[in-house]
Amino acid sequence: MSKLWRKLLFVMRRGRFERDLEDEIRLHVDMKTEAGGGTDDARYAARRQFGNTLLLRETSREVWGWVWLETLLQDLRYGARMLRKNPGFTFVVTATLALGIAVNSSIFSLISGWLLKKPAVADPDRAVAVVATNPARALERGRISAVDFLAWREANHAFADLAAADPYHDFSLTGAGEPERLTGMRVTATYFRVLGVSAFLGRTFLPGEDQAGRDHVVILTYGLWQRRFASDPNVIGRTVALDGEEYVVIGVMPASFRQVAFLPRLWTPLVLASENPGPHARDARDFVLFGRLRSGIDLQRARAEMSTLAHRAEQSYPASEKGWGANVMTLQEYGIEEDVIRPGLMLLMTAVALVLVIACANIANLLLARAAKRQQEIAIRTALGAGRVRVIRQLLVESLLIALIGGGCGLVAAYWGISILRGMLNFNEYVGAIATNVTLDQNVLAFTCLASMGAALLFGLAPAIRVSRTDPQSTLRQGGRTGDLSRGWGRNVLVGGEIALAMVLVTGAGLIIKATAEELRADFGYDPKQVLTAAVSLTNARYHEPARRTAFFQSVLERLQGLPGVEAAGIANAMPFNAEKRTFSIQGQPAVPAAERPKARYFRVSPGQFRVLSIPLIRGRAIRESDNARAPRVAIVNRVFVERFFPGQNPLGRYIRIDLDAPDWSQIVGIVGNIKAFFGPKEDDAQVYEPYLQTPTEPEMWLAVRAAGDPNLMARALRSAVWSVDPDQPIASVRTISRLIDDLEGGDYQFDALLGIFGVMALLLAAVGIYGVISYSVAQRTHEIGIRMALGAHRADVLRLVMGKGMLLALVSAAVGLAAAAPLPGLFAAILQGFRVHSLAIFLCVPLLLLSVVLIAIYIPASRAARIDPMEALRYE
Amino acid sequence: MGTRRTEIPPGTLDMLILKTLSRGPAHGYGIAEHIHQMSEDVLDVEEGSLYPALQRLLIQGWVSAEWGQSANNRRARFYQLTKAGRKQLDRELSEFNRVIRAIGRVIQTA
Repeated sequence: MSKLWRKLLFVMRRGRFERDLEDEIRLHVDMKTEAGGGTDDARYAARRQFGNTLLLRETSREVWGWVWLETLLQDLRYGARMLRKNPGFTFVVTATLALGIAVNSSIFSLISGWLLKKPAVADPDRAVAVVATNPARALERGRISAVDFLAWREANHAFADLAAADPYHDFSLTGAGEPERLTGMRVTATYFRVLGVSAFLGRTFLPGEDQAGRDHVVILTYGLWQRRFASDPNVIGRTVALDGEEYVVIGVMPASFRQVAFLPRLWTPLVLASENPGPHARDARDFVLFGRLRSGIDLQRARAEMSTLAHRAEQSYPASEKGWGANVMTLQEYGIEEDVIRPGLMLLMTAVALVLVIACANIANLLLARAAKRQQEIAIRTALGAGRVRVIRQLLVESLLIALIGGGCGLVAAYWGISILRGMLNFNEYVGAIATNVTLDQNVLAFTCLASMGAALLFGLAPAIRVSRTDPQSTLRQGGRTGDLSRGWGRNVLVGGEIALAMVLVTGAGLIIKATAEELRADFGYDPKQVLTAAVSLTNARYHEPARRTAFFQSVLERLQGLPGVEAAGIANAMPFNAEKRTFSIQGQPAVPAAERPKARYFRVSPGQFRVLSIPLIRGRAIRESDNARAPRVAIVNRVFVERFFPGQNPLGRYIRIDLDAPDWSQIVGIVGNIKAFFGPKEDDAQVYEPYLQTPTEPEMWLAVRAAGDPNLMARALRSAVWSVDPDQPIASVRTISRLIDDLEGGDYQFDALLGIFGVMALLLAAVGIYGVISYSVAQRTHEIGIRMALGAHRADVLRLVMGKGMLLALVSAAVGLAAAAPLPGLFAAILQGFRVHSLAIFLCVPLLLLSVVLIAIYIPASRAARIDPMEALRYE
Repeated sequence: MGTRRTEIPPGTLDMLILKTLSRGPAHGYGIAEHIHQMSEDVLDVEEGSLYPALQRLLIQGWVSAEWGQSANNRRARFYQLTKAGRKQLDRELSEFNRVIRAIGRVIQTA
């Protein structure tokens, strides 16, 4: 039996130990008494000699080395009794802490789910993505051409294996139920091996299945299998029709397998050997590369090797590769665009941390107030020999108890808060998918424990130290009514700090909300309402000829224009939200290399597109039906284009040339208004429109109709218009532009809503804080106020007295808070992309709001003070 | 009870208890009495030290305790030397003798 075991046994049998010792002592005394003759004198002598049996028992117990535990238990019992005795105090304190902890843990779950959680693949640290970079185009995670992939797969030494994936490949699934357009991912056979994931049912791709002839196999996502195949376990081996061709289902992936950057419904093999054999193969940067680092190779070395390979390609093929590099990032980094998410998360975390600090200040205040009441008790305990450390420990144990209860309640509330957050995070599919990572996981649990303990130190230490300084003599002499603590200097500082912090938080939240509001009010330059769009991709072999594509779109356009309820119909290579920028030259200006040419956002449109989007024509003419392949090439530019490239000149009649496959000059024939090309507070950019009939029609085009009524009701008619031209042609992304804007901006609304909520919390907590301090000081000064009133002070005087003190405190701290909040607009502009706001209104309104809330919080106890009955107050001792 | 009580030299109480118990099991009072008598009334074991010392020995595993009947039929807690306790007693005795001899030499030569 080891020593420790015996000690533990002792703890468990403490009761028996006490009884044993008592029995022993009794026997001892009895025997001594008998030895001394059995008289009362003998017993008395024996007892006396025995001395303090209590002390004896205590020292015997101490030998076992559990005294610290005993003391702790004592402190805990005592603390619990104190909390039980003051249920009101306990409720307010734990509820305040629970609130602070709940918001912190909830927001931390976002950090845990997005930034700390690794993707569900084998050895996630070694799973990487290889991406193309192009500093001139501000491209950091571009895709890579098949040519480079095949070359790099052979040449590299960094990867155990490399896989290429075409992440967005639309398939139409027919047979067995309604035809459906599904986003699939085409991957080389190595893909699942590189990620190290295996199938839930069946198998993943075998080597060689990415060769032509063997590639008609498909793997389903769990969701698709559930929805479309009713979770049929016999689905393996069944045949499905994808784009009219037979594919054999070979596997179903587990539900946990999700690459957050993409949301494919199925995977098919990517056949590369015969693909893109043409001269533009190097420009077809279609693929995301995934790799598994060879053991012993770190990210740095893989990066170095890939950029060497990219550099080599750049030297060998400068025409297409100039400016292109390669980078390697972990799957985790690739999946979550940290640089986009991190600042937002950090802001939210800061906001909730401030809420917690304010909550702690409130709790500290309450503890200080209570400590003042307890001064006498502490003084007695000190006088009886309790050491300062012991008193501090006792008070800290009480704080820890509060932290334990508050933290526990906070955790329960966080569970609820996290499910609310997850509910908020479904404004688009991509976000919905990453929201599933947000759970009350062990990181959140650990964080909650740490935050609660930290909070306990924060709100417990200051009052504990202050109380332990109590001088027992003076306190006991004063009869405990007005000790030095009641002057409350510390409490004023705490409340002042709270008000200042709340000021900072509310100002910050206000600035960000206002920025979003300004953004929303900002003119799009076009009318996004009532517009339904759809993407059509003519991938079928029968549309190989551009002329066939043109014919197809012309027929569709005619049908769309003839639909009842359609005010205008248009076709464009891109919509305002997805148009790309192209370099161009202006005739008559010195020629510059392609990389240094100016850029403009480029649209190829049918004439109706301007009416669909309601883009105003400012000068010249718009695109006409007659601007076709036989007519001279024309271009329409926007106002920014004119301001930037033809300042003080008339651009009409001048010629520009877009750098694209058709190197012809186009004459500028019209000027239109600017449109917000991409939603967000960016600079308006130069924009160019050309008639789509004057260039070979691209396979992927967008259809757009302006509806007289609800544009969503046009979806069916739009589909059947397309199908009346080609019944097998799938249609994707049938969506209104308004819906798309919501998808893109949903995050901003939620972000703003959260900040707003936290701002309100901070404000209310600060108000409660100052209310508490003023009420307390009123309660303390009841006697004094009574005397003043007895001596002739009016109620108004009392009101002024109490409120004056409170308002002075509020004004000073609001000023401090305002000064601290002053650099916020600059700070936000530095960390949030494109943040811009007119901040003056916020800096005027927030202090007013804050001070009025504070005024109410002060007025309530002040009016109570003014109602004091002097007779009663003087009797109140 | 008029005899002058002499404190037991520090560090030797454990040894005296162990030595006493080497004769056989004894209860607390018995141990104290035995030491008192054997020392011809010179050494007096204070109860305030005896019981904590017994706890110490229990923790170390040098003695074990058991409830039993005393000579006059009273329920009493008897302490008994364990094997480890016997070894410890030997160690303490030889150490004690070594120190005593050394002290003796110093005193004689001085």
